[in-house]
Amino acid sequence: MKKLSLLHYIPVCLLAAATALPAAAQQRRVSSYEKDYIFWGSPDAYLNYQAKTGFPLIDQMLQAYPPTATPDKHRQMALVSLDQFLHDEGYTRREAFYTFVNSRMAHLLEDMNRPVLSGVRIYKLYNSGFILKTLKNTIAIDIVQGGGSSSKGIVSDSVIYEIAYKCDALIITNTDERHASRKAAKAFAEAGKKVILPKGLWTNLGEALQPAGADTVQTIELDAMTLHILPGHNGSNRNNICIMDLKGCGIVAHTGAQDNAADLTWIEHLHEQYKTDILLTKSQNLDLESIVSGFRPRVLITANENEMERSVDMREAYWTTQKRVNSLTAIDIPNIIMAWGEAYDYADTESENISSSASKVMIDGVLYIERKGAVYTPSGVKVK
Amino acid sequence: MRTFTTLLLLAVAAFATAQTSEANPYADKYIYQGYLKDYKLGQAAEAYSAIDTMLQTYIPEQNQPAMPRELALVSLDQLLHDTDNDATAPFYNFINTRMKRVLKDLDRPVSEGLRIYKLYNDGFIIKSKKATVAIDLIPGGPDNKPFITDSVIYGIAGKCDALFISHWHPDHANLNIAKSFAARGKRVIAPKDLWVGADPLIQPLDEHKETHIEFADLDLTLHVLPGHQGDIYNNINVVEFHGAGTVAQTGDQWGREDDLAWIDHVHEKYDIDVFMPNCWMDQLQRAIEGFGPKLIITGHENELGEHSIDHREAYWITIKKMELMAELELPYVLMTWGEWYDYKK
Repeated sequence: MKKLSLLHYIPVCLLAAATALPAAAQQRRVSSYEKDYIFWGSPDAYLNYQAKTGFPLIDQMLQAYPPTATPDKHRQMALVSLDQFLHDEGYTRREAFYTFVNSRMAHLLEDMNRPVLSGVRIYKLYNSGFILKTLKNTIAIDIVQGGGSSSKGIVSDSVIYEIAYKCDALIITNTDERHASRKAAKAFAEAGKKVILPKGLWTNLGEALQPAGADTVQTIELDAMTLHILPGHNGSNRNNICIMDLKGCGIVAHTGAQDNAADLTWIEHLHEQYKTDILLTKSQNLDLESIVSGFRPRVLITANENEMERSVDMREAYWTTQKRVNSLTAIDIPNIIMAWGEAYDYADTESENISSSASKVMIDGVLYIERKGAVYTPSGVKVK
Repeated sequence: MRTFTTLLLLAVAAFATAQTSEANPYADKYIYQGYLKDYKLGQAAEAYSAIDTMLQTYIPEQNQPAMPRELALVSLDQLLHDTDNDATAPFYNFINTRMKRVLKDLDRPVSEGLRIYKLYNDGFIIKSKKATVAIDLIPGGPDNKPFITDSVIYGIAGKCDALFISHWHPDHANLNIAKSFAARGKRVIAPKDLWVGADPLIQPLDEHKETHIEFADLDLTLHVLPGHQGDIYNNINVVEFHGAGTVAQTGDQWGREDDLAWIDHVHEKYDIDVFMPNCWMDQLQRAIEGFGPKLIITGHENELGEHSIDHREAYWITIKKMELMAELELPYVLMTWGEWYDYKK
């Protein structure tokens, strides 16, 4: 090995000093802000601290006032405040933003341990991601990490993996990266969970992948669920509209990235064939009224608000969603505006009957759900 | 390549022009893609409305605000730290709506103690059973489009019995407001050299020294303490409402070890009930200990206009600063524009 002279070390030392000095200076500055809270000359540091103050308050308020069809002024305050903080062009520099998203995901993961005794519980995740949980199964749809081409995902890897662990299957509606995440699909595949995805999207993730979608309606039977895949489009790209019949726990439709005027000719008749309980659809669709009218669901839950990878004018605010949905005067359908990490319980008449026949039981100190002589884990897995 | 670049620039320019000149075709669907300015205006209107509702529900009270009020205040901070929202219609509507409530509430009598109103910047009105006194009352904003409209600010001024000015800076002193007091036969006490000869009732101090001025008709005494902001005369106005309470407003008192030396001892001479410092005052804790008040109400948060956002002091910063001074075990009340708090001894 060639011996290095002292001269060889000079550039290395200079580089180390150059990187260490700003880091040390930055560290001093950060600690000094908390001694006097004076930010003069440092507007970005100021905004970092403001985000650090604002996001936890929003989180507290949202927890205190969960989603309802008629949100009160407290929840309105939290949602419009969240819109403000998310319409910050410098959000990628705010560590508080990432902490906020992942703390809400932590609430969600914890809440997923809570059994669903009847109907379906809807969890909202980033962008168009949802999880549907019933007594018997837990289905994830369009789970993505977010962050686009940035090296830093919005939702952490560990959250994605834990979601995969807690769910039974992942459904992906279309190939757009805002709906389809290879990392999420891989996490599900590695956990031995089924992944139903558009044809042509990834082929090297093992046998768990089930390509789906055709020019006609395709029906796939899964445990305690029948999945109808309808041939929708986003522009000219294929988009699988998924109607999930949860067998007595409700029928939930997810429209993915549906945005195609020609498809409306058949979408407008869907209510004749499917009695949709809950419609999950992106909020900023120009044809929102036609889509909602076609499905005629009992409840509308919007998706895609505040997609952070987009420019501010294209990050759909909760307040614009609310205005838009409320302006659908021809359709009197309750709507639920949900933020990331929130849950909403839906139970139709049939599942309410199920509810009356289900009960919690403790066996050897462990919580189970008993229904019609069968025993399930809180996540719906039949054990007896 | 040059042709391509030119075409690209033309296309960008055309797009930018289209953004500013064409109406948003999807406004009725609340879709603002390509119309950021409209979007921000809509969002500001929604946010200000929600904030105002929340602030009316959770009114000022002692110490850390209730969580919904704290969220409303930090949301207000966020709005006021986005310069795109400066001087927009939603802002004008928000501040004037709140000031109109002050205008109306000033008719409500005070039976005991003091009612303290917070106005824009460092402006306060203190109302007792017998007197209504304004300190550093200004409309804010540029002369040709003040933040608080003439009808509102002059309406408020018209309900006050006297005006005290801390120093000449335009975010504290407005000659037109002062003249409106004089025109109604009300006295204005200003620092030395300010508005000399403007009106017999506009009275700058002859000397910048501790001065005691009786207002027998108002049953109060004004004690002016000779502070400074650097080299600028800064009157610290200590207003003693006989039998109701004593307040001290510090204007922009800043620096000067020689001032701090006597500020350390103010509590030995004056029994201060409510101390109203500038929120970004240096050595704030030392000043508080010097005045020895029973309650703190800060002023000067979110001064708009010339200041860059890092010096628009946020409400959340005041909360943090008060947390740093928790050892004083002194209550504070965090107020925003157009609010009031009833203080009783």
